[in-house]
Amino acid sequence: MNPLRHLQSDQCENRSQLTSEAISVYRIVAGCMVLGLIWKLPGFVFFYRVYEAIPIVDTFFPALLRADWFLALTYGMVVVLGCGVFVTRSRRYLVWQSILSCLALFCLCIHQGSYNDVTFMTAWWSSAWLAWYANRARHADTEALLHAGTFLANIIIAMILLGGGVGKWTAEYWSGNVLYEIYFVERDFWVFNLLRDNFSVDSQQAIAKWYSRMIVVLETGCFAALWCLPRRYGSLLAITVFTSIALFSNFYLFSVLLSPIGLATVGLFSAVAVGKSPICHEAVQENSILFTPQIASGSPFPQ
Amino acid sequence: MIRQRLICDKRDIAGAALCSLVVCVSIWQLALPLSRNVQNATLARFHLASPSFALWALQQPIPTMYSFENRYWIIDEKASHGIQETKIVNHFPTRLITFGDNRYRLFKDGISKTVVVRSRYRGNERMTRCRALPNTNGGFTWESQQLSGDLVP
Repeated sequence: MNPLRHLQSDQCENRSQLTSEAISVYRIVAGCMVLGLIWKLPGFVFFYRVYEAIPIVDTFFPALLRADWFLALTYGMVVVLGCGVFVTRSRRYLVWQSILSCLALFCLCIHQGSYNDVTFMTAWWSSAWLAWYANRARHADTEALLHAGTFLANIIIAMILLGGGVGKWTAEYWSGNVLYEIYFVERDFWVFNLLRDNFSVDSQQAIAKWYSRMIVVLETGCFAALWCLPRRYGSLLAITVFTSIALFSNFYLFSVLLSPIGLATVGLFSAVAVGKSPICHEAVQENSILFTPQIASGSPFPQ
Repeated sequence: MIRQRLICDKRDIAGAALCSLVVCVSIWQLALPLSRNVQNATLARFHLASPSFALWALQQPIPTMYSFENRYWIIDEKASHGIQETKIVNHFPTRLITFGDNRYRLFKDGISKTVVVRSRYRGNERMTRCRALPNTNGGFTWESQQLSGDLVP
């Protein structure tokens, strides 16, 4: 039996509540997820009214997953529960909040009125990460939690980017035709308005081609980079890429991208040096030479 | 010899499960350009035409934003040329019927509508005709039928 066990339980963090650092990370990730949902609240309210006024019955969906009230209930539940994380640091609340959010967001991913909205898919991955984090906080100290959390967050982000990248590995995207038609022809957004005002149609098509290719390469390259780069640099890269996608394509995309942006911030809190694993509680010598357990504290950023 | 290691109270089974899920999804995504079966499953997913709802639902957490060339045609059955509008959309072309603003635009006048949607990826494609008919509840009932390539409007 490990002689340090009783020491660990006495001296380690109080695991019924998260530490300041751990709860800050949780709140940022959950906050970004909720903000992403709130970002589209005006549209969601309008859509709800449309669904009430014009119900569509596609028997592919079970009746519950066509019901408007269920859509509103699940959406409201995720937002309200998410706001709750800002007034408590109780691990038990966070566990329930993350698990219920995960279930509710999955329902939104498969509801007739919201299945096509990628906001709920990215938020679902965030909630899955939060569920892991809240549960894991019971068994690991903050430093180890953030170390593992950064890795998981970065591979989730890599997978999200890969999904977009692989779907575009096709001639229609490589030629720029798809994005030209979606964005360049009539989208009312500052970048495309500027291009329409200053370039001929032929030039816009050429720009669309290189814009499209850049996105394909960027999304695919970021998948590889996020697996390979040191975690902090990976996080910075992800935040930069997601923010630029929304700033240069469509502000509405923030509803989709805020969840992965929140996940990417986890890496900024990881106090672990590049390529170095954290020593969670102890340094163990053969024949039991004991060290005082180490608890991560202070600024999350390196001095 | 000092042996430094990460020591926690319990193995991280949930973390390993989440990591495995991410790896499995990534493998599925990387198989998309290579496997006709994966392409067909994803095309069927985009057209709400998976063999079962459960299979479709299982795929929903797989990220596919801005994937494939997805085009729709709104068919005007009374007009001679037949096509009222055609556009490319980013993903899930059936959103034209089910999703908020387009649902309003299409059905606010209470008249039945026919929409053909097509998704293409690396030489593979799926085309579906969706017909929405008014029902007794004041809404619409939607029927869909897979089309073969030579029925492109």
